[in-house]
Amino acid sequence: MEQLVRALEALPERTRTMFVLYKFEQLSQDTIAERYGISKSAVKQQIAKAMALLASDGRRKMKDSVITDTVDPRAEEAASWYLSSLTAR
Amino acid sequence: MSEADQAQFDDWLAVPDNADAFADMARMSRALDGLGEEPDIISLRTAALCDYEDRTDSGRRRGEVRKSLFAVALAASLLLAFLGVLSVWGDHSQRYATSIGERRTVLLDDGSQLALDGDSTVDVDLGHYRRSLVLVRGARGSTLPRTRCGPSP
Repeated sequence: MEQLVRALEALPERTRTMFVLYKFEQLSQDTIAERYGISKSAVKQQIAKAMALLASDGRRKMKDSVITDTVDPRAEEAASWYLSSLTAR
Repeated sequence: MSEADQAQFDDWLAVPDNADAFADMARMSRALDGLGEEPDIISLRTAALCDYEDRTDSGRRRGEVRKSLFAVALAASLLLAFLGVLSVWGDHSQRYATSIGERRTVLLDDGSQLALDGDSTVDVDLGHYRRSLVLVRGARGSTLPRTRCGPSP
């Protein structure tokens, strides 16, 4: 769990902010998009990027704790599908 | 998710590596669910909410500015269009001039006649509500010599 928190802290700021608003503050992608003046798909992309980076970090946590902006395309696609599979939000 | 999206998702999920990646997402998301009240996460939530509030105000201001700019641009466009119509519809000014020694009588658009002595210039503006004749230049500086501006018989 500690590793996951550290990975969350290491996310790019804008990516982390949108993910935290969505995940912990339960704000919808539409709400975030409206308030930040960007499209819903752009918000979804940021959230998926955060999830992909967190998941990728989880897989390599036994090797090192360095997280980068490099996103695994498969993980990002998986995150995008995961978000789509959730109801409504 | 639409039927088409669902079908595409099913195809994607049928690939084992994709299914593993999807399972990672679900696992990671569940792990995060229990961390919302952790002090470190609360710090992140506070920072995110502060950013949200800041962006909310500026975002709204940007939106209002965009709307205001649009309104101003629209008003300016309408004004220009109105002035353009006025310039075409409302400007009936026409200049009549004679050279030295020339005498000329012109029939104006309202049916009246204007007689000009030599070396004279008159600007005639026949508006809908008023009629204006301005002697720009005239022999001896006289005012509209031998001019008849009455309505047509």
